[in-house]
Amino acid sequence: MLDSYRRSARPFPRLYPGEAMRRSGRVLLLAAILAAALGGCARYYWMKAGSTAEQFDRDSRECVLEAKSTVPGPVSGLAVDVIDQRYRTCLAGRGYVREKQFDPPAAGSYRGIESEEELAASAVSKP
Amino acid sequence: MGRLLLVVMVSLAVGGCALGTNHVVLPAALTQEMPATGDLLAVRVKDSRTDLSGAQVGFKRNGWGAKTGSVELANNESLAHRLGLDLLAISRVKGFRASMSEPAPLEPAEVILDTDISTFLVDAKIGWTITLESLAVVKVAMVDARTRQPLWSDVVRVDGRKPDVYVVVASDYQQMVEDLYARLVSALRAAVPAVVPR
Repeated sequence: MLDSYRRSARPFPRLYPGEAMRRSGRVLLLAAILAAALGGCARYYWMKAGSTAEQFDRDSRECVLEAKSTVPGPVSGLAVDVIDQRYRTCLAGRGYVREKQFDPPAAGSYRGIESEEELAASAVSKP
Repeated sequence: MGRLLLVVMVSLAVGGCALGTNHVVLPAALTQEMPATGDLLAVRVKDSRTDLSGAQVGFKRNGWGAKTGSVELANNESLAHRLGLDLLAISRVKGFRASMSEPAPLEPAEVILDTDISTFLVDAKIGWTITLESLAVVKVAMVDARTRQPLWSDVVRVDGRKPDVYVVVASDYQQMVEDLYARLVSALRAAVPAVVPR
């Protein structure tokens, strides 16, 4: 009697055949849903050791203008991709690293231009 | 299983396959005799594209938009070399005694036609349907060969778009690149002046 009680009270009860597989499948599915949900909160930020927000703003503006100058004309279609690519290359050339971070981001991380609308708007404004 | 494999293989064959390299054949380069008189001009072409170089002129993408293949000029001909040949002919048509800057011309040039390929690209935007897009931006300038003084400059931009494509095949890349290149050469022909603006 005591033996059977001890068996049933153990923290990891014996499972039916296939039950362990089903449970681990459920855990994996839950982990995947959680990861997908949390992953949506992560955004790209630019980081550079010792940089300030003012310095990043200035570098970002200069890089937009530099990138825009290589593709004159309307900022639409493939031009957006080309300008965006050059903008990122320019910032990387100034020592910034672009990485995904969860909000709120770590100190010293700055949000650059990540959308077509922002790029078009920034490209026409002077520093 | 066998039927599934067959469907996949047929789809890849008909779809042109997003993997591998597509080669685009451009029409023969323009040719023009050297005029007897005119300013001595050297054509110099630099390819300053950041994400492409040499013969590569575009990307192929899979259904998720990832780059999975390349579009290149046939015979591994570099875009800069090819554009140089056409600019050589254009300059001669305009009346310049033009030659390529490399190898060094027999007579020292008076003017350099400095050309910078900033962008030349064919790419696909993946959505409900595929949109093929193309863009070329070339900076062209005339520089005094002796003093390096800029004499004239212009920026030529041409672009193209082919929306609502369901399956991209090799002929789509051929058409997009050929059309983009033809319009670029045409725009350069219109831009390059017939006399040196001094």
